[in-house]
Amino acid sequence: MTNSRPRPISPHLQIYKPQLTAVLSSLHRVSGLFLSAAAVGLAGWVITLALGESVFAIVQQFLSSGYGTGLIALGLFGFFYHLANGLRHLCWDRGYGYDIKNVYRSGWIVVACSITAGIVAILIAL
Amino acid sequence: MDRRCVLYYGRDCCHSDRALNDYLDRELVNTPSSEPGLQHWRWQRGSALVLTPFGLWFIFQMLLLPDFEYQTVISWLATMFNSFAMTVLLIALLVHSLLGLQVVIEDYIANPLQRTLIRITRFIGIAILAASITSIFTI
Repeated sequence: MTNSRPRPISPHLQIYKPQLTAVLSSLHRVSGLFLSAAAVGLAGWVITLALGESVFAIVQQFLSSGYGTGLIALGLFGFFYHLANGLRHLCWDRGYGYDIKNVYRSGWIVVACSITAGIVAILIAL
Repeated sequence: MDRRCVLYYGRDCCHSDRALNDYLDRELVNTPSSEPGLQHWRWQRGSALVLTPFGLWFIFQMLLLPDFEYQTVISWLATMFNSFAMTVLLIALLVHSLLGLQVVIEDYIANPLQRTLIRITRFIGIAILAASITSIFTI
């Protein structure tokens, strides 16, 4: 078969108008990837506890810096979002909320809950 | 059961990498299964259910901690309940992460490399998990 002219290709992601459903789905994956890194960080933090006070102090110094605080805040939002959307997934797994109306309703609930929980957690931490 | 098969992105049925999935699941889960994708599904959901209370517990505990001095954190972790809960949290967290990363790798990376990457992430993840749990109990 010769490729004298380009073959038709299936539509890619950027063809579509961003919709709540697709955006939240991608966000679940992105937050999952970020939280995986955070999980490694948490395990590392526990390991530094065993390595002694001087090592722990260095890590703690980074975590209390601007970058560290930013990462923790991002991690909190990511955690609450992934948690809320994960519970939404568990409801779907049980067969609830599959119709378009409820998918959008639960989507907005997830957005509201995760932003609220993230802000509350950050306010308590300050 | 049938509904679950469909929900897991069709990976349960007739997936070309069935043999590979079977092998990898056995490595992590240690129970041979006729439905490897279903095992993945169950462990992902099971770890999610564990992470819901334990993750929230950990965040609350950290928010309640008066400061992050070495002695404060050590004495927090040294109690029986906290070290046990921390162990459960880390296991569930790493299992859930590894299963999630596996799906992401399967979606974007083609096969000889895919297989290698999944094994590397599992190796690193399990090594970190082992080191962190050892740390908890040597404190």
